[in-house]
Amino acid sequence: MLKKNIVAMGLIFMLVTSLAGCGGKDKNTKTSDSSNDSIKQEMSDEDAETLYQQAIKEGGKLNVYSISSRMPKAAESFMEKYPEIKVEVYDLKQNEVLEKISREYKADIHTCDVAHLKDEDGSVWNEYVKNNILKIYYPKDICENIDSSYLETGMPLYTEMYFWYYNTEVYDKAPIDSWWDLTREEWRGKLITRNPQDDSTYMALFTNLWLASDELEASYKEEFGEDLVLSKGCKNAAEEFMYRFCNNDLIYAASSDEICEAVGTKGQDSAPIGLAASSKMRKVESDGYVMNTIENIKPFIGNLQINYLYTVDKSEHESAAKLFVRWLMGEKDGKGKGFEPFNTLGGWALRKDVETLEGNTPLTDINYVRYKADEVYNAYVNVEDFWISLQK
Amino acid sequence: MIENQQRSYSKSKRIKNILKDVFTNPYNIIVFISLVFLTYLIIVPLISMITSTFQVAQGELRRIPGSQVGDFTLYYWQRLLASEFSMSTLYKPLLNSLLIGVCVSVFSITLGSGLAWFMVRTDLPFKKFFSFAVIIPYMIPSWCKSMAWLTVFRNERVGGSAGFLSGIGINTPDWLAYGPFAIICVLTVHYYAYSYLLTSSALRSINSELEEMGEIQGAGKATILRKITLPLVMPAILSSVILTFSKSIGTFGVPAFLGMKINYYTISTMLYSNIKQQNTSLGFAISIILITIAAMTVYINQKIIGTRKSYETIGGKGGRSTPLRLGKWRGLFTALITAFIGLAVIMPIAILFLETFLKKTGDYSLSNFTLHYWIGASDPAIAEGEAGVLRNARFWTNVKNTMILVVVTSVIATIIGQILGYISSRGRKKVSGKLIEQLVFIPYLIPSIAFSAIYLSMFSTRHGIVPALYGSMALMVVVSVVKHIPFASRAGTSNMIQIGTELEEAANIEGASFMKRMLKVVLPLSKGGFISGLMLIFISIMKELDLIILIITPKLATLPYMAFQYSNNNNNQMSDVVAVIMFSIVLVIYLITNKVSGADISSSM
Amino acid sequence: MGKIVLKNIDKFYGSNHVLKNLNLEIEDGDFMTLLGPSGCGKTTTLRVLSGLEKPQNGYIYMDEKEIVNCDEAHYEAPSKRGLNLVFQSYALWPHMTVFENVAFGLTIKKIPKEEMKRMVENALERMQILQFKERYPAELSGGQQQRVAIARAIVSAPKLLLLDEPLSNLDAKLRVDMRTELKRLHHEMGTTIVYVTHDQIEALTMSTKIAIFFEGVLTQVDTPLGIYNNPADLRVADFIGNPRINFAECTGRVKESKFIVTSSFGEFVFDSSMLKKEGGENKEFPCVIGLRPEQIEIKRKQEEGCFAAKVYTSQPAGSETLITLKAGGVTFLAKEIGIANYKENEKVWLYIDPNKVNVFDQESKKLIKYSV
Repeated sequence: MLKKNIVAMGLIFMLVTSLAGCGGKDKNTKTSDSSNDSIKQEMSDEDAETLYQQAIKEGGKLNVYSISSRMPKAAESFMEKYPEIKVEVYDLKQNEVLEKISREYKADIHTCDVAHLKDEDGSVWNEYVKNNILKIYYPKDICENIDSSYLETGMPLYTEMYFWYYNTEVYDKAPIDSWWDLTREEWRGKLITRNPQDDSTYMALFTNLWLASDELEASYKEEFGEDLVLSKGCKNAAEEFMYRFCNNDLIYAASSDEICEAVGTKGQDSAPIGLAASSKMRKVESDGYVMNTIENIKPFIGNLQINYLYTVDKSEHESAAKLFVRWLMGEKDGKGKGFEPFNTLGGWALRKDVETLEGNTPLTDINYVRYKADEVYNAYVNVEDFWISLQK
Repeated sequence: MIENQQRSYSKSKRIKNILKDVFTNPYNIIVFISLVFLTYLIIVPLISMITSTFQVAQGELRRIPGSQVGDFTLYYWQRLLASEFSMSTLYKPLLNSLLIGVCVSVFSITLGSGLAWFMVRTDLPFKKFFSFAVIIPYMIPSWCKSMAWLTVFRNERVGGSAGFLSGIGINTPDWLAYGPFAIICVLTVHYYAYSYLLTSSALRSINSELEEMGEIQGAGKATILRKITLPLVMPAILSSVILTFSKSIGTFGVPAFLGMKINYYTISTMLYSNIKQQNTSLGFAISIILITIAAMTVYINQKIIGTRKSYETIGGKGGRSTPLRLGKWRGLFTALITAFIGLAVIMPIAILFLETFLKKTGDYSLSNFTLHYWIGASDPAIAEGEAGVLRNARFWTNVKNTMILVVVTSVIATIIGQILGYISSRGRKKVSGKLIEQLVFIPYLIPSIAFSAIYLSMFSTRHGIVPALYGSMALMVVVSVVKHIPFASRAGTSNMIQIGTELEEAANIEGASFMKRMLKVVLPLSKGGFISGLMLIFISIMKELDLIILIITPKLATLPYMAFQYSNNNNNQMSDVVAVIMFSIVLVIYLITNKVSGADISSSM
Repeated sequence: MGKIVLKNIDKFYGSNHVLKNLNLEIEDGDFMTLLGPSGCGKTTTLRVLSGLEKPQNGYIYMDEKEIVNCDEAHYEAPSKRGLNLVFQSYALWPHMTVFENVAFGLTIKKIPKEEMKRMVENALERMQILQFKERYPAELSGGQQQRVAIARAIVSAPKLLLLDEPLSNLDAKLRVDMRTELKRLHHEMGTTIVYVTHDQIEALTMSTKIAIFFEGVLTQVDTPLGIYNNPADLRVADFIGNPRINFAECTGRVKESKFIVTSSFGEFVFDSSMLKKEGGENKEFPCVIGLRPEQIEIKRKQEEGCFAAKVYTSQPAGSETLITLKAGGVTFLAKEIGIANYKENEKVWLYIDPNKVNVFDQESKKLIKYSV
């Protein structure tokens, strides 16, 4: 009887492994080893009217997968301007958008025309754009107004950042000014963040610190006046920082909203400080939170969280998609209504000809690091593994 | 003459007759169809899940230099089982899960079967109310209970508004607010309904003469309970162990809500986190481990039950039941059960309900009460301008979606369940019956989230005659149907067992064809059980979130998803409003069905 | 219907061999009772005959028509065998009225409405339950349900009627009534009946033939009296007859064309032509003597050819008296019609007609001396 079972299990194993071995080699995918052949930025100079006429010919429809609940507002104004095109917006989560697009792409279904995504860990660039599933549409007249460094891996709609927030009732000024402050005993049990394991945005932020380990080491010396001594298992200053930070009794929240609620609720005696999306500054007004962002941290605040727009390969409504991208970007002069829903507190336009909203610290005054899609993408797994290894 | 016939034995005739019998026997045909159906919807997904854990995925090209997407690899298993990450990604969460699983099973079975005994066997007063009240937790989604838990026990560690107890000056310790203790409490209150339903129907089928005989022999009440009643309901209790244990190690909502904040992972939250991070292969590998554990419990359980299983049919004829007099203990037990119902059943609902009227949570002053979250127009000062739930344009669409999903799914699942129940009850001694009985249990063991992930990939492409269902209600229905087949066929089996085979044989002798027997005999007799089974599934699907979260699209959003979305955007009160509405729908439908048809969900367990 | 022949039937449930090479012939018009203790295979035989079970080996012929041929995997459908079955549990459909229950088979045969009504009412009347035709089975007593079940079985006038312990769920009085009723039914309709029971009284009173089963083996087929008087072996002898047959161990020997049986209480001498056993002359062999209680005549004084005995107890029961006796260390039970008064320890003499005595071979358990 036992023998029979073993034989059966062996057979199943063989079946599975052979299936695994021969099945599913996807011809559409390229390995990221060939990452050096970066996508050429081809500027397009079709004007809006031509695109509109073509879009009508293509059926007058458009499907948008977006990670923002503000996208429907932009779609509404778009449909006012271009009434012949019906826009359908799917408001989803980042991983859901990607999951949907890749599954549909494999199934040869081409529902999505425009995708609105973030790419802080470089995976969209490396796994989707380089494999030609997502495409970047660069309208020439608009791109002329954007710093070319933002254009490298996508069409940037706007950017956010992740800030440390503090409660303005409990603290009269920013209580920290260096990442190393977060490793101090006084913040034990008073730091609230998402668990980086559950949210790649946070892991990407640590990856950026990891890539700038030297700067982090320098700022340690600046902060404590002595050289950093690495603990066992830590290979550089960033890992040492993560090790100490992680062991400072972190509180994990489920979302940026929850973090801001914990930090910003009125009437607390002792409130934690929390790392959350810059867009949550809106909560000060809408929910009456008493909180502020900490905008000066050494060596830098973090990375830009650029929201990119992509068109999708084999899209059936290519012209409408291009027209919609233009609309979201504020059209030729940057004054179109499409951008309005995204021009909010905690969000920065990357067009030089669109002014930063009042209340936002100008981007030029913020000490952030540039987004390096390939480096972050490749370092990401090391940081992730290191973080997981810290979980005892 | 006879001698001659006997010798004219022909092999070809034999083969012809056997084939004719196999292919014209309607029983074989439904078995065949069921097997194809179950293989396609259960075995294929399982195998493709296993297969994908041996293939390199795009994201892992970084980690496995020189590999190509789709290459054979042991990377995922090696990482999971034997690497420096195994401890934190597998073994520790696994231990946590086992601890939770064991504790929840022990507590909810003690609680559930204890309550069942009181309701069925004793002269407890207000039984009608009590026995209705104790199944209410089955109607509330578990995340509602975790929200209620936090509303009470939330402490200042996390900051923000304080919980109810902190609000009145009692600071709750961390271990009470979050982590294993909280998870076990909430899950126990959530899952005891299973053992309650199972045990009470088993108890009801025991002839009380068996107990009275014990009394005549001079045994005390405690001895009777221990030596007679308990062994008789043991099979029911053991099968609720499987249900509770595999559910509580597979569930995601509660441990995520109450555990992840303090970095307390269970295997199911680890799985969820991996799938959310698009580490799908690793997530699948974790699910396979989860399935293996659950399958092992089933196996051990079957070994334990073994021959005892036959008890289940003995009491079938039921008979008289004289309630046991509790005597002087009556008052005490009534008080205890009332207190339990107050704390575990009414309070969570009351808190939920109350919260929907609070402008700001945690502030119970009169000026803070508002109807905004129900019917308020958009006000930029509240909840970022979200209008009240009933004014939300999507609300009625979501209600419609939910009702379509729930009604279609529960009807289909129940019909399939009855058919499968027919096969396994009529084929108890046959390979077909046993095989189907084993097969239908598999979906129960696959965690919802993994289940929907695999369905997502299976049905995103056209497979032969099956079109790509992704993004359609059909896929949600298929997933929900398959996931609920274990329950549905359980209900079907217990329904079909009640219909004696002789009733069918009598019709067979009268010359009724299979279809005729089904239509004229089996179907009319199974009506009651059908409706009870339908209710059981109905309630369960109504709450379903984990299962459909990956395959839902905005146009197809359901109420639980709406509640989840609100809660994601930190609109807790609106999330509560949706939860209250969901609960009310379930309650009203249950009460109406109960009145009209006398359906009793416990008879389906 | 002509005769029914079951030939070399084997039936297994898994590895459980429940019918072992069964051969049975049922003549037209027989009331054949299948009798045996529970688990002996009698119900299985009935189900095999009805077509609800498929045997693994053997053949069944009805009217010379082959309805089962296991070698060719040919099994005629139950409804095509021209028979009907009354289940032990009655198997009345609870959701149909009495009328609908009885009419069910006719509707399937698409009998015209008027004709059907006449047939159903005829059957109900025959079973004296016409007044209940609109009721549901749950509204009837056990006896009435039984009658409905029989009415349902006979409505289409089957050539063969199978009854599976139909009386076992009735109380004693109803059982006697139904026995009469069934016997009359058999006479009136002339249908062949196969009847399963474990109650020997039913078997003896109703049947024209009895087939006795033990552990899946058909042991004896004979008329009721034939079985009573000459049970084929010790088990049958022990099973049939109430009060039970008396057994006494003894030694048999053939000498000079006489068959002499010696027991502890006396000696019987039979003509050796009565012995149905091949055996060496003058050689002793162990055997068992079988005496029906009513074959023992009790005498108050010594007579020629009587054995001495002592009364152990006496149980008068009105119409008969059972007396327990001891003779030569063997306990006997005797039955006398009417009331008889014996005192305990009273010395009596027993007369036993040697012609009526059964003798069984101890070794083969088979009957070797028949009663004449």
